[in-house]
Amino acid sequence: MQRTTGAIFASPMLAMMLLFFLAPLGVLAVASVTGPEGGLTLDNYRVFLADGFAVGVLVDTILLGLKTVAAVTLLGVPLALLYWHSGPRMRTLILVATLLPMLTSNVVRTFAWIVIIGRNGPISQTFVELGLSDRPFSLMFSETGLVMALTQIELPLLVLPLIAVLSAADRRLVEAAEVLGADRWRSLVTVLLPMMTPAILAGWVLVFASATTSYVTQSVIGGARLIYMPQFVYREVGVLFQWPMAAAISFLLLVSTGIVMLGVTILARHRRLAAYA
Amino acid sequence: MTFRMTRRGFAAGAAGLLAAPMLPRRAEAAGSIVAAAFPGSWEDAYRTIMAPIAAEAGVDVTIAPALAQDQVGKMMASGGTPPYDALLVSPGQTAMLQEQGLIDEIDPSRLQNWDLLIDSAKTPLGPHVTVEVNGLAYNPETVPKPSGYRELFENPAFEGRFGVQGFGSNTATMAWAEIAKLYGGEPGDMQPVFDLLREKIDWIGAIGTSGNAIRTMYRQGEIDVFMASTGNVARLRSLGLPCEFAHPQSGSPAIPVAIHMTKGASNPDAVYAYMDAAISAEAQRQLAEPPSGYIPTNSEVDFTEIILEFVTPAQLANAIYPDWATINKHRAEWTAEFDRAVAM
Amino acid sequence: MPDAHAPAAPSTDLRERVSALSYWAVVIGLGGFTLVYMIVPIGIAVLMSFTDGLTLRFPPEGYSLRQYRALLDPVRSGPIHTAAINSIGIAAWTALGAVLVAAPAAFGMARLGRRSATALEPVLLSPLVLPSLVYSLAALLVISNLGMGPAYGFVVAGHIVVFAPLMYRTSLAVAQQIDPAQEEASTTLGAGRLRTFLRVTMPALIPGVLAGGFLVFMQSMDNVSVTLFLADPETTVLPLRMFAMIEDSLDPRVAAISGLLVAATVLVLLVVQRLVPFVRRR
Repeated sequence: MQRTTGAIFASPMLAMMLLFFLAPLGVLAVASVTGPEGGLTLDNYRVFLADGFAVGVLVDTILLGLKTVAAVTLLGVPLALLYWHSGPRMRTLILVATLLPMLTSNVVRTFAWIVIIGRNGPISQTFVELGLSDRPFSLMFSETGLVMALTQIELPLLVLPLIAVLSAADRRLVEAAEVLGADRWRSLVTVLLPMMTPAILAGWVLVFASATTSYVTQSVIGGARLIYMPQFVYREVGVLFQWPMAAAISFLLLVSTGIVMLGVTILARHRRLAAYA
Repeated sequence: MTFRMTRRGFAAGAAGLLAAPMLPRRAEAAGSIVAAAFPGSWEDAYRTIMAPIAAEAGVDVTIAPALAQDQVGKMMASGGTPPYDALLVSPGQTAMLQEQGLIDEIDPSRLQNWDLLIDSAKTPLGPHVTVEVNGLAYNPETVPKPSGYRELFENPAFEGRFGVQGFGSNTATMAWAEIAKLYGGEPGDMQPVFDLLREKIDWIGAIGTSGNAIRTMYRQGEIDVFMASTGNVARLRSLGLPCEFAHPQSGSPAIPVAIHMTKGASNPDAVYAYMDAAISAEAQRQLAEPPSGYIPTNSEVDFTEIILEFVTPAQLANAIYPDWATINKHRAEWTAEFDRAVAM
Repeated sequence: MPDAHAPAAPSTDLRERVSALSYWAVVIGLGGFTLVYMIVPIGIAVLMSFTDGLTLRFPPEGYSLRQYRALLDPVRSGPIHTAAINSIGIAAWTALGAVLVAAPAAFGMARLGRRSATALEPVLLSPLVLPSLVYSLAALLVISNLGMGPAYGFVVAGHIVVFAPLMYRTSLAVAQQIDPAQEEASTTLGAGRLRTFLRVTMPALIPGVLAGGFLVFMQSMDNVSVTLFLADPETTVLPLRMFAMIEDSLDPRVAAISGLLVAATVLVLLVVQRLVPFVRRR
């Protein structure tokens, strides 16, 4: 009874995802192996994978995702801990601050970053004034600048699930550990981190997926000398009109990000943790 | 049409907000068409100047903003029913559209103003409405006036001060074709450019993914010279930025802009009326004034002050018109090679 | 930590103090830095919206409200208004569509057995982890193979598919807390399943649905990739319009639009925060 009801209510969305999400991806897969005259061919993949430069771009894209994930984790987890230790007012502030980047237009955020990391921007100026650099410099068109911008843009994807977990968590649990003599670091490792792990893993998946495919930020901040997969896809579709090739490239991007995410999910299962927070 | 709907939408408040998108996307009234225009200044000019003139001729024009390349993309993705009735593109895209059979030849006898056009503006696929002249934009406050493309790569005054973009951009493609010639390439041979890029990569200040990205760099003071059309320079000046236009000594590449009728256009009569309006002396006279300052193709319209500031009729007569068939043939290959030449 | 390098064997007391100090240094230092890091770019965007200049440059040449006035001017900013209305319309339809499919699904999945739920959930969440750029390309391929072209309806449908999982996640968090016994009571009392759902379950789901609706709405408003591929030429949307404005002239009205969006967002957040505990147990 319970289960039938459940199945009935869940089926429209399941059907929608199968029909309108997974089926088109199937069509895409078919398109990528269809030759110009019809018929099955792996040429598109062969051309791409035989091209050392193109494979390099794929690798760079995955590395960009991993670097962003690392930076987001380094900054996001301490923020989540700050949230955990804060009172209600500070908690609201952190929540609003976390939601804001998610809710301001990508275009404007990206422009703000051009300002921040540009030659005349605050970072360059600070370095010059502190004597850390002898002349103004620009982080535009550098991977460092790109990762910095992506980190700000993707942080909410990690911090929000963490906040969700922590605001529901029982503070007394950790206090109990402290009474038992565990110091801050130990209680972090033994009590807080295990609680946060599922959310961190879920966040990683979202951050990685988003960072590897954020075309606007990649192309504006990264410029033409840093090439990532989405730029390839847009170009094949929008400039060269090579749809099957675009489909093949998309699929390779999909598969390789899929592998990374599968890795994370398996890690999650392995630790007997649900894959999502 | 769009504008009136906006007002109505606002007046109707929250309900209107939801309902506005449900209004028919495409007015089917007699004499209404969807015409593409490049986003930004072109769109503004066509919306405020062209649409009213066409309306006098009984045609209700909806201006849909899209870059030339995006117009081709949407046309190719539309499976039979064209999303536009009239396109606004340059020869590079015209060749592509023709190859794909997406545009129709026109019947010049349907256009009253056809005979007033200068000869080069009369093409079987539709009239040219203007010609854009390209060259170099520079900041007179920070760098000397460049004499041509070659100087950018050789005069230390420009080291790290100029920005370029790849073959996705028409402006850059024409400039690279000129640079290839200057460094000894035959037509269709871009190798000298790639050799130059590899050799001088650290000499170049910025390599962007589009002309727009490069112009953003210019505005923020990150670079002082870039490949540009006179229109780009006029635009930057109108925004209060210091910017001058330099004709390269080797000649200024020029690129016409044409209106085409799409195959299967819903209302050919209305498209003809719209084309006729676009090449009329009345429209071109207005479009030749600031802020648009488009060079007229109607022989009855004189060059305005703003046009003469950048281009004289003599300079226009000496302009270089690249061979777009050759460019299109090599574009994919050049794009790929450019990536390899500049990648870090 | 002045004593950290003292030669004497560290007492447990000292070690505890060092440990606590370093912990707080990391949490307050790095956490506070992150907070600033997230807000500063938005602050810059808002600051630039008050520029007196004709183009976006930092720092602004002077301060005034002229960008906001220009933005509200129906003649000069008519196309922006059209795009904003389109975007709001699309986002509203998307939020509505997402509620209609995802709220019942969240309820349903909470009632399914754990095993089938775990097996089916990735299907429901897949759009969250797969790049929407790839999806848009796939959808466009299907549409054009069916002999149709980009259209307004497809944009809404695409947005619903891509963003419904957000609604699902927030609703599921709430749905899992609903006591099945309460529903059973209602059913035994003779109410049909649907009526039970509408009378008992729906009201309980409202906090999750509101939070989800808010997220879906804002994400839809900012989406570029789906709209870029699936919209017909006349449907201009706000983010693409803003992109064009930035590309054409770094139009400072873009910053003003952002300023308005930020203000509206903060306002809505504060209201929602009052009405609904925004994040709840998942």
